[in-house]
Amino acid sequence: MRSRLLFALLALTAATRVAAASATLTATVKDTKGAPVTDAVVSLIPLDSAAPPPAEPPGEIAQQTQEFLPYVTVVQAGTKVIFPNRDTVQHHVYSLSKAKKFELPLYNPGQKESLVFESTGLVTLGCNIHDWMIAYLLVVPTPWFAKTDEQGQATATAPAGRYRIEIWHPRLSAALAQEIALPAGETTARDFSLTLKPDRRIRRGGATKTGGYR
Amino acid sequence: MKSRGKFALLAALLAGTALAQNRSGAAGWLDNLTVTAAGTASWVENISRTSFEPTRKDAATYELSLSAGRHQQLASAWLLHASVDAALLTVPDYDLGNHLELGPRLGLQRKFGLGPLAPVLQLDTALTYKSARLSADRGWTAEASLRLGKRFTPAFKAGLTGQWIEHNARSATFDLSQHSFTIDATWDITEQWSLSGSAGRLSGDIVANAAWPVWAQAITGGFGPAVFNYYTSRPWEVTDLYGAGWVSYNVEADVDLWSLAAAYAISDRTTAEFRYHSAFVVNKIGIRYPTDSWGLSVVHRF
Repeated sequence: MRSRLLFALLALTAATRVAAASATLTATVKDTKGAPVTDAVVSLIPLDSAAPPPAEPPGEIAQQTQEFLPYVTVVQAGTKVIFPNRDTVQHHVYSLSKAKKFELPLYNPGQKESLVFESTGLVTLGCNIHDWMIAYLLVVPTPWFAKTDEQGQATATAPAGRYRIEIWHPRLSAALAQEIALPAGETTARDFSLTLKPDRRIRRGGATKTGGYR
Repeated sequence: MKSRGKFALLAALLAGTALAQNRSGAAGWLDNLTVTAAGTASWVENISRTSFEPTRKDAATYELSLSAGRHQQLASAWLLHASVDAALLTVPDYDLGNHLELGPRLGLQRKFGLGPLAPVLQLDTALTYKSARLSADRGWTAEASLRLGKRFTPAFKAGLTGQWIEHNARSATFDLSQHSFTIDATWDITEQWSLSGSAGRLSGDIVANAAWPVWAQAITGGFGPAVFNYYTSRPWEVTDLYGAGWVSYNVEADVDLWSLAAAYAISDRTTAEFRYHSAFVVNKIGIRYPTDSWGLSVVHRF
């Protein structure tokens, strides 16, 4: 009975320490006109210690209704990403990016493949059949990251300490970085204003009329 | 024949609707069927393709077209496309020009490389039956085209097309053998608006028309020996297409074609397009037949 009590006390102390050691960052990302920016990736790269190896479940980028879902995915280097084809048509998924070059040709409906992304960097995905299909996979060297929602807000929880915050978005010309110290047990709020390039995505093939002459 | 044409259109419409409605519950093959419908209203200047300006006829035309097609990836770089196309054209002021075209189309596409900027070579073939109100124009049309297309930026693409058409009509007057080369480009200005243009040269047979008094003069030497010798050597007949006594005649010609279109994507599936099209026909003996048209289309993919 005494030993059980001692164990519970130790566990409680440890839990309190962990809770006290963690810190939260709330980032609000807007464009220069003040509009919230969706799909911006906020990652916290530790400056005083090495990041732990990936422990999160595999990422997933699906092909559905002839689009990639989601449009932006972020994973830690070393994470497995699953590519299920939930469409009714074949796809030909590929990437020509330096961080990971690959091809999944003649990718049938119902088929599922997975790849491990070891190198950090941006992996741009496309479909060689449906040229308008595009998705971005950002591979980061940290498990502490978040993606902004429709309000342009992202919340990341990490151990207290010093970090380099990196902000990335598909329409941002270069990643934005700044150093920050996250105090234990506190929520730190940061606002970011991004200058975004125009959206140059290929338009999904709309039906058009072609004329002939007789 | 008129009722047969209507029946064929009705059958095509019903088939298209049924296939579109059954897409979710049907087998995989039908799931990938794409049904597209387009309605176009046009104003055509010199629809009669007449050389003598005072007798030229202008008219409004209305076209409804339906296409049910399917893509199949054969290998990583090869794509097969098969469809059945139907198009009904009506010319209320000159209803002898009404016709229905129906037939299968088969295309094979080869992409050279990965990514949206890789060039694409596409071979298309089609066999179409033309059920025209004017019986002399009824018959089969065989068509083949080869197109090399390339996207240069996410918003700009262009292509070069060579096309061959052979129309075998009931009457030799309406037989056509044509080939053409066209260059086209499309610029997606915004998420909704796009601008496209094309320019080309067609060579081959063209059917032109003339009012009887003009034609009578041509074939009796009133316009000189060149016109007399050429027109009497080519097939012609009285068709009443643009009025009593009007004559349709077949000539060899070169045609300068160009078009400009502005399209607005109403949704992912529906596009409205305004198109100007010009065809400047010059026949073998230098007689000119300029034709211009302005058309408004709504295209919907089900």
